[in-house]
Amino acid sequence: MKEFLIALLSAVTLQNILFTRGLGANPIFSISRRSYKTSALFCGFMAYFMLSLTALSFWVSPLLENLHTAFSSYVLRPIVYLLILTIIFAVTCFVLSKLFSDFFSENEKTITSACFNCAVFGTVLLTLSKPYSFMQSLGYASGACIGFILALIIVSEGQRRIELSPVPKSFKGLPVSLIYIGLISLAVYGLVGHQLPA
Amino acid sequence: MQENRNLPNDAKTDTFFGSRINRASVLRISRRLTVSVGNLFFKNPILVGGIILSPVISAVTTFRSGVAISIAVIIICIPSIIISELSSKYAPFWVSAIIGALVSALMSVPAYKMISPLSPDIFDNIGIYFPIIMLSSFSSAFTHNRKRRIFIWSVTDVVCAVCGFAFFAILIGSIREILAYGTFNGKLLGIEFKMSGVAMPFFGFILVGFILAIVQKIKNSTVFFKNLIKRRKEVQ
Repeated sequence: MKEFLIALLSAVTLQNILFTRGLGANPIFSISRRSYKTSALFCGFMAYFMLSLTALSFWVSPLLENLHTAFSSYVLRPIVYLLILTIIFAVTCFVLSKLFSDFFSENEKTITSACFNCAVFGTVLLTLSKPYSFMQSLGYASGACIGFILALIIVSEGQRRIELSPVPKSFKGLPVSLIYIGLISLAVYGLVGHQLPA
Repeated sequence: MQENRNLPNDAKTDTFFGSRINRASVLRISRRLTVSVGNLFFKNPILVGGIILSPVISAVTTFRSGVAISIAVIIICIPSIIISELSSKYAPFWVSAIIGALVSALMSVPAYKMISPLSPDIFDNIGIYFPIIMLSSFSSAFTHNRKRRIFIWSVTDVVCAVCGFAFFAILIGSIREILAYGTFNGKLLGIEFKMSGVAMPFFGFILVGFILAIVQKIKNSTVFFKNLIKRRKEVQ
């Protein structure tokens, strides 16, 4: 349990997927301006895909351990994880379309973008590249989800405040949001701690 | 047909230099081509909506990594976006997303083969951001205009947008390499002043933000681009 909590806390703060690695920048921008319901649905499905992919990939990855080439680590492994993600997504969509067809037809695009985004895939690749136990892997994936939600709240609140501020015309919209995220990212790097050369 | 509506009357009837090609269609094609080329900047995946942003922010820290990411995006994204867009006409949205994912996975093999000769440590530099491109392409596909369009223009738009991505990725990589390491393409430039923080992701966010602001400034102020926007609106 201690291992789980340490991995979770580390992923939420010091290794936040958006602020330290830039993962999930695209979904953050696409959902930060939508309704709370859509954002919550997106985050819920993203957590579901991220955790289930981490759990399944954790059991599959030892089968690929014998392949120690660069090709296997940069191409073969990701393809296997992508296939697993695709299977989870296909099963989920099939079940939802049969059982909750109205809900699915309304939210098909949200569910699809919650599954196929760099935050989900990047988190799984990062988790499985570390010598983590099963509980640590789940802790890291859960922390990444919580960190993403935290980042989403910070970015959407920041965007709301920036809109009310007198920003130069050229910086309005995405540029100022990127600079805002960059400054928060800088603060997170400050938490990690860097020393100036003597 | 919609594009024809905005053309002058004489253009609809005249022939082009006495040839059998209709002048109206030539005008229409030239207008549409201008729009597609304009998409290099205005519908650029990085600069509009922050698409495929994570590799640029975190992995593109040198000229070579910029070239590598650009090659990967060109090889992986163009076929997957086109095939998923084609399949979306005949299959549900979620099925076309799966088809696109499988095409991306398949195309990552030739992309790996193309990138590996660039440098022996190129994959150590770009790390997890190479496989991430497999899924980033879907983000582009989602934001892509999903109205029913002529296939050839759809392809032209995708190619132009991806080429625009490549241009900006290489530009960002070059700037960061010069500032962070004092080198360009691995060769020393003799610059004593180096800022190692430039290679960190936070500077990536800030740099992309400033480049985007410069592009918006140019877009808003230049007459040529204003006319281009006007033409794009006419076509759309």
